[in-house]
Amino acid sequence: MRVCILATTLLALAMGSSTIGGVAAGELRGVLRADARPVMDAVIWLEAPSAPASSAPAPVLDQHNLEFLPRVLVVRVGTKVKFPNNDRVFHNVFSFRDGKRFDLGVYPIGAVKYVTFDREGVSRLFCNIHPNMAAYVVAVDSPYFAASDANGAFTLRAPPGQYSYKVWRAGMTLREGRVTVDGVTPLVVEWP
Amino acid sequence: MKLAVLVLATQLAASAAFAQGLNAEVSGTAGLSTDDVAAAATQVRVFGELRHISIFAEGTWTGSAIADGVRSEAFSTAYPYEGPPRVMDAYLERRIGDGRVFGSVRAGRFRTPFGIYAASEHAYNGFLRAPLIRYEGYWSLTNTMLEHGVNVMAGTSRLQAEVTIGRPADASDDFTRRSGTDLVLRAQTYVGPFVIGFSHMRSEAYDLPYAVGGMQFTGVDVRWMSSGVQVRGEWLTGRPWDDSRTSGGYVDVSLHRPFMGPVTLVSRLENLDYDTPDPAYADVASGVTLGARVKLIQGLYGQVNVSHRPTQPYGQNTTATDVALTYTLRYRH
Repeated sequence: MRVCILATTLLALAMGSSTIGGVAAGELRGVLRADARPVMDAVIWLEAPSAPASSAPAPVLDQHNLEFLPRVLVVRVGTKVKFPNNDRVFHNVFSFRDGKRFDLGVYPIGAVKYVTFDREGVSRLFCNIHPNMAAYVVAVDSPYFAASDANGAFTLRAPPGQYSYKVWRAGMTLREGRVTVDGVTPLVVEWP
Repeated sequence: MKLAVLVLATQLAASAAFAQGLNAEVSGTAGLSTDDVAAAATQVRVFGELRHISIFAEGTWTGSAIADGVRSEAFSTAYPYEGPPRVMDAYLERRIGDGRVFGSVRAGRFRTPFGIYAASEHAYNGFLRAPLIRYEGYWSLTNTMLEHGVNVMAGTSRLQAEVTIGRPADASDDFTRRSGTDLVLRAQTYVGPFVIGFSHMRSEAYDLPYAVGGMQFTGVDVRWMSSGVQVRGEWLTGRPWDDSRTSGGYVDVSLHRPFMGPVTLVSRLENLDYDTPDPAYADVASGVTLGARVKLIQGLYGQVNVSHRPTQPYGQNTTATDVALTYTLRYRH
């Protein structure tokens, strides 16, 4: 019996798995590329609209040193995002086009405002005071998502199984496909 | 009316690789005014954070073509509009705190933290002229006042206080303060949709033969915003030197509603009263400005202002139209 538990634990650790919504989770790793080069700040998500809700703390889109951090934030639809101002100067965060439309106005250092992204889509965020501050919030109807790092690499966790996936990056066409989450098979998505 | 030749802004390509955590930004502005002024300005900024120390440095260069005998404050938003390339801000800042209670220490060269003083709140933000109370020609505070010193700030999101001790290091074209020790106090509170600040400063007078004694100003600034409508303003009173008094303020309104797309409309109402023992030198100036800032493509903004100064205009015209294009490129690490 002990050997069985130990083996199961080792297998779970080897697969990088944990528990999501009471279901044994797998891990999907992969790389996103365009013209054979890694693509940073791309978003991948697995379609799972009926997946259980999670109780993660509000994700943060910071304003710090005249930048939005992170530049691309992916959240599940219905998520409340925290927008602190951690700069000595004022910022005026707004999104007027696609996705969620809002204007947070100006607020000082240390102050925090919140926005709930209540529908699917990409919101383009700007600061009306600093024209080169820009960020994206990608709201997806799934709890299984990730954004790629500087090497184009991503890791997401989801219950093992087959999924349809989508990959978004600013200025590029949406990529779609099917993938199996088994903790083993990596996913490579390339834009031509 | 003769329009001066448009001078193109220089765009510098920053090819150097920056250490992680630093960004660089280059802004170029070219402008024309019916005041017979053409100007081109470039600013280069480096900013970011290394080892939890925030860094900000900004250099500026401006070339202007002004007709003989013409005076104008066109394009004098937050930078000197003549003279050689020069450093504006150059400071390090360490911030501490847990988000609810925080503080910071800033050291180096920075703008005098009085009222609404950040360059980003004055330059190329819809207005192409500094407010009367922030232009050097009207004997008040100017947007080119700088300190060499230390600024300490502490507070919460609801209330912050800061103390600055420094020495004048102004980047003005014509009027700089005498050497000495400056003290600037500022408190800022955030209540509902309002941000309210109080500032007080003691410094040296401008380095002019008739300016004796010290400079002292006290002011209040207010910001309010709701649904794309922003109202901000500041009012100050004090003396640029002994036996004189300057009081005045401005109210800016900017309108940026969703249906307006890339267009932001701006307007300003302002007043300044300069009293001196000799009435021949006293000024009462007022002005109104209407304008727009339009995002043309990413990074490129067009701006147009119509300014009317019915009394004591700085230039020869009581009404002037200014247009400018500003392009900004940011290089990320």
